[in-house]
Amino acid sequence: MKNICFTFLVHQPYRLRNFHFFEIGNHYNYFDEETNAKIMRQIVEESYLPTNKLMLNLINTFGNKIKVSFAISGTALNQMEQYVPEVLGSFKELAATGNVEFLGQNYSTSLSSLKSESAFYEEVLEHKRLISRLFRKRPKVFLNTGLLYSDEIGKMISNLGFKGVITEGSSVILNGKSPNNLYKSTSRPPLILFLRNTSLSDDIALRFSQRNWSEWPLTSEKYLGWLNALPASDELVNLVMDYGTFGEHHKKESGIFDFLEFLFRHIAESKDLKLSTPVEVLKSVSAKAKLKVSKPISYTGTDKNASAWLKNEMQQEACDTLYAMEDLVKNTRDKFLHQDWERLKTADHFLYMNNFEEVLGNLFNPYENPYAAFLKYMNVLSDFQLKVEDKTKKSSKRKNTRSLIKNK
Amino acid sequence: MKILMLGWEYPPHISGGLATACQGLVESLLKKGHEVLFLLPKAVEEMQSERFRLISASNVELPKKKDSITYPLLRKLIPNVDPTQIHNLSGDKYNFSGAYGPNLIEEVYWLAVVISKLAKELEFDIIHAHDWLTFPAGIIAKEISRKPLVVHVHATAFDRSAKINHEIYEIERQGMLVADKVMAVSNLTKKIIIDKYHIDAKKVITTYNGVKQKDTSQNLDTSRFKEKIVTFLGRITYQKGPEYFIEAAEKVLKKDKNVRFVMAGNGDLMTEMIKIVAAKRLSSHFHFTGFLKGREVDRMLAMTDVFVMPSISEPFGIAPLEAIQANIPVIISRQSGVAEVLPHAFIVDYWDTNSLSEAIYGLLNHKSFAKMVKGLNRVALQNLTWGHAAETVSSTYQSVA
Repeated sequence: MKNICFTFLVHQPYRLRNFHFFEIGNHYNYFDEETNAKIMRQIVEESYLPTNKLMLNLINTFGNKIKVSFAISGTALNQMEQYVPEVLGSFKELAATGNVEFLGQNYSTSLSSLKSESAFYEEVLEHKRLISRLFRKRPKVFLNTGLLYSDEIGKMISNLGFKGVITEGSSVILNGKSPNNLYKSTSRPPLILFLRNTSLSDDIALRFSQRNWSEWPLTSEKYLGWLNALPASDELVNLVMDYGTFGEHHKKESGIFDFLEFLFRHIAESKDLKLSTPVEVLKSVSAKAKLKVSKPISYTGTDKNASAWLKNEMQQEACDTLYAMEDLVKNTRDKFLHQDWERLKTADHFLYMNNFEEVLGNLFNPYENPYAAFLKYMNVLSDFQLKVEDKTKKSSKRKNTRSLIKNK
Repeated sequence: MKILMLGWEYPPHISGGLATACQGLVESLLKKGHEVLFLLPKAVEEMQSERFRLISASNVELPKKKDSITYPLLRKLIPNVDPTQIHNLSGDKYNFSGAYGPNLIEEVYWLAVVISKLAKELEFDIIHAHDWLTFPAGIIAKEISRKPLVVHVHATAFDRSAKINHEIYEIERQGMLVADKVMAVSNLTKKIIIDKYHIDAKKVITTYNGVKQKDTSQNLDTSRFKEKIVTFLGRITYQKGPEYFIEAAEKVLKKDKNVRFVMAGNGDLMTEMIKIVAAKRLSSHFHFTGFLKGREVDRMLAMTDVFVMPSISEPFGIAPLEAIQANIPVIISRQSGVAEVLPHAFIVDYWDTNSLSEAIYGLLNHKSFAKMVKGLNRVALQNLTWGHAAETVSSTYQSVA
């Protein structure tokens, strides 16, 4: 039996407000509540709610034959709580069936795995707490921002107690090997590597409604045929895609919901295929070989590495400025500053500053061009810096006064 | 091909971008093997080389006898010039100022009188007239020689002032109507020609200017100020949007006193701008240099940290290209034709001084941002040569010859 692992990514950043440089120093709110709420509501209505409902119905009909996993970011969960709490209820319902696995992530979908080990650990633990509070689940398998992974990152994930990690089935690391098997990382103890099947995932996520695609229209029967045609030695197929694929990127009219429903029905009724979650696969499939990944890979951008976020000078300056503040922010022990800091780390901010040529996909990018993205971000960061400095000064003053009183 | 080119200025006689543009184009046309006879009202000195001749209209003797073809034509096309006056001048020369003074329109028509003689004497395959100033001359040259006429629109009456000069508008329209092809320096200008002059779109061809490749390695004085410098360089006229530059300066200075603003150039709005700056109490951080010539422009650019062109209506705009060459980050208005050839330039609407001031502040304070803007613009500039412009012009000639 081949395992078919569907992993759905649910993420929304806190988009910045049009923060003008006149406002630097005024310490106004940074985030565009109205737009963020609007986008969240739109995507919930068009995609998350109907797809969740579809999943629940399938689970009610087929029981344990329907299995999927979710990677929901902390910033998405918090925005759901804030703006559309009913969708959270629907995810909870899914969680309660026991047929759904939640993956570990870093809270803000940040680039901390590349920039700061300590920030990364904190974010992962914060996300873990959130998943536990909302869904009463303990993630065992990890999925990093944009599927970023390297041996180095693997070590950190392993240190945090995760058993496996999902990353891109990049040809750079596979060297002709199949992405449809499990592999081991170079860390000790080894982490199990789940590799995203790039083309089969993108057939649904990117190409489903492309009329100029030679395989259009894609039917569930055709897709099932592709899965069945895979060699017997392939033990699992990782299909990882944005949850917005269903109803948002591909609108309802494209037939995406029917495709998903019938694909799941076919697999549930199949003798050769079964839907599984990563933790189940860990129990039944063993890893083939070690995979060395010396440089970070990801599923984002044209080069499928970290360059989508950190290629140009603006991205680098913005990111370096942000991470240079880590200790200062921590030392303030201020809840609100900490919250801003988490939201400013979200990698989407850096993706918006990407070069003009890159195709960024469906991001709800609020900016006309990378320059505007950079300027807004730096305005906010300048203000944030001032806020942190103010707080630091105030608390050191307080300490001084306290020690003065003591000395008296 | 042998081209009779009609212009108003040619280096070293420069007052705006027109002379530079004419020279860039002529040099590249010569390189392509064309011959150019360039007539202008007044040349400092006439030049002649193997395939290039600069003719000063001030040196051309007007016909001695009444000529049965020319005189009725002149009367019909340029009724503004009194034929008896022409008659009186017979065998004499008209002394052009070649400037843009109060006699401008009169000189424009006298250039047509001069060409009525030259068009019969000179040999050429095509007529190429730059801007309305030479359109009456171009029309006459075409009528007499029966050679095709191409008019080149570097600016229209709509770019010059808020109030349209109807006489000039009519001269422009006549030139475009009679011409076999109309070249526009940007799609922005092309659109004006189609919408406001009602010229057949098929006749109008966008022909972007080039920029002369320059050696930027030479060491020029750098700034003597410790503050950063933001520069406006161009004529201080309505179309260039100088008051928006001042408004942006005021906003930047509220946040950052470590900046000086320079308005380089002169124009009819200069005194008004000086008054505005004084009224806003910005004079200690805002400077006017007056008109700058060749090397002074280079020195000004060498001192500049950010270059701004907030034009309200700019058919093309060569100045920002020179700034890019000097490795300066530029901000240009969306209402500038040059924005069409700089896909990664920082662009703002001229009236949006909030965005403009923010961009100035950003470029002054974030190295990475300035570096990106400079780098991406320089890449775009590499494709923007007079060679490319000359190619478009050559094929336009071929299409009508």
